[in-house]
Amino acid sequence: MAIVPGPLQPINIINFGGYVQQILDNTNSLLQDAQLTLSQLNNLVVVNNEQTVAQNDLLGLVPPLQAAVNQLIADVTQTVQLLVAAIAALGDVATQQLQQQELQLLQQILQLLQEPLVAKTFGLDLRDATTKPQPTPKIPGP
Amino acid sequence: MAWQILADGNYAVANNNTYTIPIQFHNASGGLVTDPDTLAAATTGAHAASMSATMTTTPDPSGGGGTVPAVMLAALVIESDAGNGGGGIGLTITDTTNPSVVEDSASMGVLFDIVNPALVATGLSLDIPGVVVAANPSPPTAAGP
Repeated sequence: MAIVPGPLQPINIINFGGYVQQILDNTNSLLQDAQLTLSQLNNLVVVNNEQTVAQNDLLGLVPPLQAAVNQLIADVTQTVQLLVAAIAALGDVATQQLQQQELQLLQQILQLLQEPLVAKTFGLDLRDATTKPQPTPKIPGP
Repeated sequence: MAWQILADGNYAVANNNTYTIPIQFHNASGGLVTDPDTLAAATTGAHAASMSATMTTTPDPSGGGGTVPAVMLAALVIESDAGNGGGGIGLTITDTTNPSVVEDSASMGVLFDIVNPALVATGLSLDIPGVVVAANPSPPTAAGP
């Protein structure tokens, strides 16, 4: 099983999470490759078990090595999960801050665009006043 | 409409009419704009109680359709002007949405007096029965006709 790690992307706040994920994916693939190799080696040792003492000794080494690889895979998997969660959270914070800045800028632009439509003062349009009859008051005044 | 401006410079409000005055909104550069804010009107001065001011709406005088805010003035007394020591009634309009925005008619040089149309001359005629005859000290010499 050939492992060909993909090219790493330039790091910035947006793709940093993906960058870490890619490294951990590559590591995970390498460990799985090692596990496969151990499995093949185990099969080879079983076939030739009765042929040499050295192979018997090797056979004894396979289970602990297999256990160690399994533990390593479990640890890496957990680390990947923790890192992905942390990066996702950091990404959310960065995105929220960016969105907040963009929102403020948009609101400022909107305010400037609406400025000519915003009433600042008002007054009486005496020229366009109209009248209607009403009953004459009874109170003399003033 | 053409307002009657009295001798003291105040605007005459006839006691037998209501007056509906549209409100104009201006932007920072003085252009006319619309505004959805709610307004409240009140009269001011020593004789504020002699005239009512209530907010209403009136057809948009610009002909753009719809209505615009307006203040309606109505006399509550027969007369309140210089003739009986009254008048000089001011008008304030407050933006209730933004109460710090208040416009006072007095700052526009606009005060109102309530006049009694029954006492205001609207025409003239000859009082023929009341004619008085006196001798002409300089009789004409031209023959005529």
